[in-house]
Amino acid sequence: MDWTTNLQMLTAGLAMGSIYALVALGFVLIFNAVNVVNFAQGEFVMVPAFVAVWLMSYLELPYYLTCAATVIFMGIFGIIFQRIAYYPLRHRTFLPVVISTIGVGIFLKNGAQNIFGAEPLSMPRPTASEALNLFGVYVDPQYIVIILCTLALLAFQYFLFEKTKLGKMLQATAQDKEMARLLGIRVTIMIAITFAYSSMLGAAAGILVGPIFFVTKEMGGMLGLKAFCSTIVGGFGSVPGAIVGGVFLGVVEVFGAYYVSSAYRDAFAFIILILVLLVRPQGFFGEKIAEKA
Amino acid sequence: MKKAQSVFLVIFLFVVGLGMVGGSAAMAADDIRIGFTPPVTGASAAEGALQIKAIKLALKEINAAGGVNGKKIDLRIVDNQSSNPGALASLQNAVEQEKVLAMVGFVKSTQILAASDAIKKYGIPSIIGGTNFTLTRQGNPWLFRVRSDDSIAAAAMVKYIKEDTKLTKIGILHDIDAFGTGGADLVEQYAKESGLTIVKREKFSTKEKDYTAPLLSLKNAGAEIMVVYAPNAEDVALVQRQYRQLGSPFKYIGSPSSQMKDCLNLSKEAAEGLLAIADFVPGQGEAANRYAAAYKKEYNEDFDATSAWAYDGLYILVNAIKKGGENRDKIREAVLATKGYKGVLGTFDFTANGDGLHEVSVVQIEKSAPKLLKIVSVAAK
Repeated sequence: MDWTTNLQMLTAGLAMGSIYALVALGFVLIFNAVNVVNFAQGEFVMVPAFVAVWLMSYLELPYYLTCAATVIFMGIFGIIFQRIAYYPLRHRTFLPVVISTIGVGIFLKNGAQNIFGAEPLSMPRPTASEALNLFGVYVDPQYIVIILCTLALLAFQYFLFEKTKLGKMLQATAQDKEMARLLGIRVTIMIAITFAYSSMLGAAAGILVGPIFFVTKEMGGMLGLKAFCSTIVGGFGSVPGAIVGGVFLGVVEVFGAYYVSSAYRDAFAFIILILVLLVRPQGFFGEKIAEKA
Repeated sequence: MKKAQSVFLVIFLFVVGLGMVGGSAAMAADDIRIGFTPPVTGASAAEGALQIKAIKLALKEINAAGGVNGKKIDLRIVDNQSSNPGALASLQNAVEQEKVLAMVGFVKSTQILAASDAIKKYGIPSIIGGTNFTLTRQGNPWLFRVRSDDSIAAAAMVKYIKEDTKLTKIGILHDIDAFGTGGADLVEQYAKESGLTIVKREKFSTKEKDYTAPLLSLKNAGAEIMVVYAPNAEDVALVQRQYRQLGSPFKYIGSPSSQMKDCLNLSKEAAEGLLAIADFVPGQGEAANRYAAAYKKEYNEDFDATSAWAYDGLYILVNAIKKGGENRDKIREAVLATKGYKGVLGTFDFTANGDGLHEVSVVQIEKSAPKLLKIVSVAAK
């Protein structure tokens, strides 16, 4: 049980966990704002990954320009998505909207296949492809980039939500739409901004994880499911819960794959989900008593 | 309403009738009909198109050289629709409607298994390209395989490891599907028979993304060389990349997917210097070079290695017809008597159960292309 191996896996786990955390965050923000579970959240990672590959490989834009363009694109995408999948159904119950998001997810996956073909695509890396050798531990530099970028994004988000007026307005909308409206907050715009921000988080995740794995239409599927598990494990509706849940899941997965069985790696996320639901259904940070939707 | 419907019905029947009549009038009555059942539509359509190119090249060359005793070969292509029911239907169509003498048949092992009983019932000589070990061992005397089966790839790997790398500690990483598990089982069996040790066996699910855990596990178990047995280019490319990320802790030898074009396009520099098994690699023989040149001339593109079996298949079948005449039993005997035939894929020596090829190539990746190191023959079992 040497520490280099464990450190190696910890790094990989933290990196994957950061990706899960970003996607989980997207879930939770949308849920808090409009009480909708967005089952297309995984596709919110897949779409920008394809866009980024297209911009870099086909139009040959430089890396940082591509990142900026992709994030802006996803912001607009989020607003359009909200308009199509959520807005017409906003007065309906929970279920029609969820089905609508599932439908959009399927549409996006097949759209990606029709436009880009079924072959996996390779995303150019910003970092060198050789591993860094830190004290005998071989680390893919992209993992470090993921972890650092996620921390930066979380810091930015904390600042946005807690210290700016816009952030306060977003929080108010999430807590109580009626009251926010009464106080003069333009709720419809706040909701649009929330969707846009959630999509941009997806863009970040897609750009960060694309160089490690290949970009395929399926990449969003498992990612979305595990992120969803992360939010439940962390406490559904809790922002710090989503982050902690995501990182926790990423780390446990890798260690489980090494010490228990690598074939069942994907199962660990769901086993933990079931355990948490049995033992502590409100998750790590959830409240014991929740309101009925 | 009623009148329009009946007019439509008459026109419809007329058109259908024309279609049925038109089909068989095309070729001269005394040409030799051979059936070919590739996937023209469905999930494998892209592979099917390449197989058709390969076999049509063979057809052109054979007919240009005079066919069989002056008679031309008439190739009837029937779509197998990339599915098992489609495969069965295409076989029935070829035999009953197109009335073919013999067949160049399927490449997917699952389709071959589905059509096997029908082939046996019809008693029609069928060239097949599937590599599942059991296909020629089910008591169907009409199947003739023109590719090395999976056991040969596994045996060749072990033989190469023992004789050429002189390493003794093997770690196996494989996909849990039928191909991966089957291959891993065979490698383990042959390794034990050869006195080599399997230090650990790690498995992964298809489409797994992160191989850090199994790779580290094999490293800590003391593996000197890792055998990677998996069918999907995407998964294998990721293994290759992450294996490099971890500092290449042992040597690498992979099943054919490790050297296929779509895998190398994804793993790029990571694959440099890695070993793999290939059915067929350019430069492995005169016939292969001739094929490569002829293909380039005809289609203005590089040949595809995995469809070359159709080219060899048609040649072997036609040679058997030349020897045995237009009698199915005699054709069968002639195919089984084919020895030392130098085809594109290698030297064919048919054994009694219908396996024609017992060799594979060990290649090393150089600049994202497989380079031939050695052709390894395995004694027929």
